Amino acid sequence: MPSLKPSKYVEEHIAPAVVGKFGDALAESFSITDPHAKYLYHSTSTSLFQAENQIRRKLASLQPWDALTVAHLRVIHALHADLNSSDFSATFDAQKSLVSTYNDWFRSDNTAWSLPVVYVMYRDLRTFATRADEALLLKGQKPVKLAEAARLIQVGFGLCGSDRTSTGDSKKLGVLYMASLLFKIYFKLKSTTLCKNVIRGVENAGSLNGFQVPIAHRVTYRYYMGVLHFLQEDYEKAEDHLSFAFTNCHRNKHRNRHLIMNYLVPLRLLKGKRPIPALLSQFSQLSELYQTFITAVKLGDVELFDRHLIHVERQLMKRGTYLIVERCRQVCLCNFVKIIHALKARSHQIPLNSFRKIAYEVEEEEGEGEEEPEAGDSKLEEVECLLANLIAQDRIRGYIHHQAKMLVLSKVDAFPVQTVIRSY
Amino acid sequence: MSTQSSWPPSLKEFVNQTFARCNDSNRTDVEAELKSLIFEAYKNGKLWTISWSDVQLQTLLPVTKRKQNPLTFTAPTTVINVDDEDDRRQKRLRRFDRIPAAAPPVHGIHITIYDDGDSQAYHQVSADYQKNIPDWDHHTIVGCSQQLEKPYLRLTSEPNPADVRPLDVCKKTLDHLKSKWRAESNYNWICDQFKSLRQDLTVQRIKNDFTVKVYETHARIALEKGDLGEFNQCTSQLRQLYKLGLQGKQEEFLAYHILYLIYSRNHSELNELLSSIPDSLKQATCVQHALRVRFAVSTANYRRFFKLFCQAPMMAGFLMDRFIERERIRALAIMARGLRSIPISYLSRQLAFDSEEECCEFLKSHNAHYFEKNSRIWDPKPAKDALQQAALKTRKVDIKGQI
Repeated sequence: MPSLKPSKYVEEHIAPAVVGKFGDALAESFSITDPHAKYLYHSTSTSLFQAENQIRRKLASLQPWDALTVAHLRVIHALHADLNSSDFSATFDAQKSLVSTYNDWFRSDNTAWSLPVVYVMYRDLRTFATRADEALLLKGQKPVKLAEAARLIQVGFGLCGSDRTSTGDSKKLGVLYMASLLFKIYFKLKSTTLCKNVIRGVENAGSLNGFQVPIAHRVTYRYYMGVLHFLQEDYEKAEDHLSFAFTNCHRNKHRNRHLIMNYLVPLRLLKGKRPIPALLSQFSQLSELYQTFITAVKLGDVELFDRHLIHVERQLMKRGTYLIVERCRQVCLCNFVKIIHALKARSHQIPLNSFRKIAYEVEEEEGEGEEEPEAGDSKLEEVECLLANLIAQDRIRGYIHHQAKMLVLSKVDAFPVQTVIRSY
Repeated sequence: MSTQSSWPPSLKEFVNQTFARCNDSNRTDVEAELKSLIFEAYKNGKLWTISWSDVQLQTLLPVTKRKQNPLTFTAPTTVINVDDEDDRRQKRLRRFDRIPAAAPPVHGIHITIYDDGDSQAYHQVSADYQKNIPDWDHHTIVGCSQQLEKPYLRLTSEPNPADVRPLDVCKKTLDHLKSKWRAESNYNWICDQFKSLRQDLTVQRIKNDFTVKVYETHARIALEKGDLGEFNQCTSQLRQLYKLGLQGKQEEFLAYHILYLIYSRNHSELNELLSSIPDSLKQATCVQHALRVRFAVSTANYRRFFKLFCQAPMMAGFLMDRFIERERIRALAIMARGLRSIPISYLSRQLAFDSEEECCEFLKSHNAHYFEKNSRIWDPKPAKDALQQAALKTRKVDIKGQI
């Protein structure tokens, strides 16, 4: 097992990065996932106190990095102890101490060079909070660490957003990363209403168009914005955000692309747009889920659509997309009407009876006509209701003449291309 | 992702059954053994792995070969010599001194499993559990009031046992309130009484099947009178109580929960709820109905919606009353865009109006009262814009005072 002495760690990693303001290099030195953490632990496992003193002496002229490095070393030791006991509260507390100390310094620094350090510190904070909460749950206690982490991340988020520097070297560059970190936590805590404050913070930070914000940050942020709009059934904005995220997502980040596509496929299907088969086949789970829907929609086969919806109900609900897929049934119905229209030699007046198939679920109510003279044909009433909805949504142009039991289609563009999803 | 309970369901069930089986004479011993067992399981990390249904408490075993000598007295439980605890005991005794001799205290069940909100951390673990585990009895009181009726007063200090009704009196109170409600239907009074009853259960930390019954009864009465604020309070508590494994009408109130989320347009919570309904509950008639209502609303299928409204089981109709107007407006807006030549009789039947006159009144109140050339055929063209505006307005839900 290689080892890294504290003096070497400080002289060859911390000090040069601080003096030279190499943010990325320094971030590695404070990341818990970097190999140095194991090596440093190995060399200091029996003499933490001695190592701390050594670090303080060597970094005395580079405050507050002496205290920060000591705090980081404590995190490493706490983590090692916690890995044995399966309790991460001590590690979380140590990381919290590190982040708090860092915030005090970060507050007064008006440049962006150390942002990579911010990213890894807060990223690790969230990781430890998640694991600490899992341990708390196992012990039958209330999980509170993630919420605590969110409050601290909110501070860092505020420090980034409030930087008034107008040049490219501004802490504003970190706003989107911090916002996405908060989104992750609030989604996990199922407190999506708290995301509004985050969005407001990003908007208050002003336009980021002139800044070199990493594309990965933009993609992540736009992904979460897309999901939030999706949850509010604001499908136009959802598609806009998610399309940006997918287009700009690194082609090798397969899991991320899958997460984005999970929402994008049904969003586009709702507009009658089918994904390119070669694209969909890259995501085997989505392909399994949606291929039957795509077939049913193309054929206008409502029964097939409904059967498959029941079949994959649980999966769609877990993915949070059941409700929108259910609405894609409208596209299926609309295509059925198109097919009937074609079969009727494109006649503009079609008897409602021709569409009885779409009301397959409605049972014939026999013998009711005698008791209630005005009772209508239930199937035909269902057909009328379904078609009225398609007309109201502008999927079909025309009207239903109730007494004549006819669908009258517009002679011009009876089935307009769907650009906007209406809802009633 | 389902929320993990703080205690295993089998343990909760075990505790509830244990208290159901013990009586006043052996309750103290049973409680002591139960706490010891649970603490040992916790210390050994076996809380979630023990098969609690197989556990047998020694103190509940039937007594054999030892006849009860009427002249023998049980030795008093050893008192823990902690000064602070002694002070608290003295205070409690002093409170009891004020009780008239004619009304001796009656003990109710007063030990319970803490829910998530009441979780306490075990900061120190030591061999002597009795000194370190929170004393679950310490802050729980046992009431001794015999009053059937009591107005509700928000607590501003420690509850006085003389004012609190023990469990058996609470049971009589519930029966009394039910008959009063049937006879008088005074909602303000009955609501006040129920809040008082719930409070007595809360301060005594009573959570059992009877508690469920109280909340269910209050929820139904509140729903009938349109008090959604009180209804929500009761149903929130009920969801917590069902999680403890207590018996109740879980299917019925699940159906109400679905309908309420439809009414309040809470899509994200509704989606979450739908994905966590167990199959066993999904089969219930009232849950099936609620799920069909959700589908009808989601797809704007007004024909199905109003058919379901006419077939609403139990008290689902009362909840659907809250959003039937908005669905009627929505349906009319759709019909106005898609239909021509609609007789008023058809409209009235489709939208589940009691009469054509009622339907006409509704159309008038939304500026949609137009007919073709002195006939009973509705003319939707001039009504279209007004209805669309009305439909847009219904998209905002005012639920102030209900959370």
